[in-house]
Amino acid sequence: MGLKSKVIEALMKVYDPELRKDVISLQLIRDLKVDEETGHVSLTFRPTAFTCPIGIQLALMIKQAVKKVEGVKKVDVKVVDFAWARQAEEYLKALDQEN
Amino acid sequence: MTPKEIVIISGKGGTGKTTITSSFVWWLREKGKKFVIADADVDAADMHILMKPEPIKEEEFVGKSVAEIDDELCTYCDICRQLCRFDAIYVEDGIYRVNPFRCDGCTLCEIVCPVSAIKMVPQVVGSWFLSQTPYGPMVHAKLNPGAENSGNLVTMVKHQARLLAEKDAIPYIIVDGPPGIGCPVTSAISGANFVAVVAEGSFSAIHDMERAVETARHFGVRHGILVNKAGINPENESKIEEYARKMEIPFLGKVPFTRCVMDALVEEKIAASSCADVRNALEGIFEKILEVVDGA
Repeated sequence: MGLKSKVIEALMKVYDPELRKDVISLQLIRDLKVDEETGHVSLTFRPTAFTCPIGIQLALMIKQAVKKVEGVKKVDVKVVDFAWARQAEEYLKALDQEN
Repeated sequence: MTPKEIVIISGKGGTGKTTITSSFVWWLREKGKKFVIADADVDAADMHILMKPEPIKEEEFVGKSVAEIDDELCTYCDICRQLCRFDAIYVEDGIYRVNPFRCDGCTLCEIVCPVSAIKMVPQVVGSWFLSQTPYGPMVHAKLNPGAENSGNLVTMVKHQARLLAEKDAIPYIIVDGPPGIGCPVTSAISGANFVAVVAEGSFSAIHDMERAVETARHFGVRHGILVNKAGINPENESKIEEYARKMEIPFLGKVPFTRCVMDALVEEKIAASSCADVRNALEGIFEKILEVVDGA
């Protein structure tokens, strides 16, 4: 299985607890790019609603799920159409300082 | 292309949201505009009566989970019943049971059960539909009687409407909003480009219109006010205009109260298509809304 398939499989385990469906089937993930050689993953996350109350948590769960995939070295998550996108991206950056 | 979302709300129920929304849909089609219809009033959906949707896709909507006790594992220790803060667990003929309407899905009983006899079972609380109508595609939903999570179901309706509009490059999403100012309303106006607040000349409608306006302001959504059933109470109607002027809210216009609208709705017809004076009044209102939305 290629790296991209593994990433998608990992994302299918990230659930939106309000709509009780995963972020892939809800089409919340866009522009997913996976460089099989360098292990660099980039994606865009758009919550279901502009003021989604759990948008920040979901963004973090998405990044953590992808980071755990074997072979992934770097993960960039961009958040769009979200009232607290800037705050979300600050938290996402802080995730990179971890380990 | 990013679709523009126009939501019609009111605060008080019964001011004519669906009458206005269906007229807006009829008017847009007459103008050759393309749009997705979204019925966000999932607790009491009624746009389908006038839109006559033909479902293309139906999907169950899973709401909160409810506890279930496996009687074969249960040792009748009574811990769950004692700790349940919603008094949802009771004993019947010596068997421990859960009242699904009282259970809040908090999972405490599942956690504290010493023999893992309790599990949380997701509940199907309604369905949402993607349909075709004579006016265009429509996303709508039905919540089961007494079911909760309507705010989430509204989020799903709007999300599916947006995905559809983006996929087919449709420029507008017209949302028939729910009454009140609770979760369904905040879900309905979240991210909208414009919210039209439908008021009427009654004291309760004015009171609830002000609360609906505050909700729209809280979420930073542009909004305007229109008076429906104008003529019933001119004094109160001028108070609404004065309120809009004072609060610097666009006053979109007045729609006359006429028997013709009742007759049209009884025959399941759209008010604007049947009643000339209503149509003329709404024409100006809809032009103003599009001006704001397209001008942005």
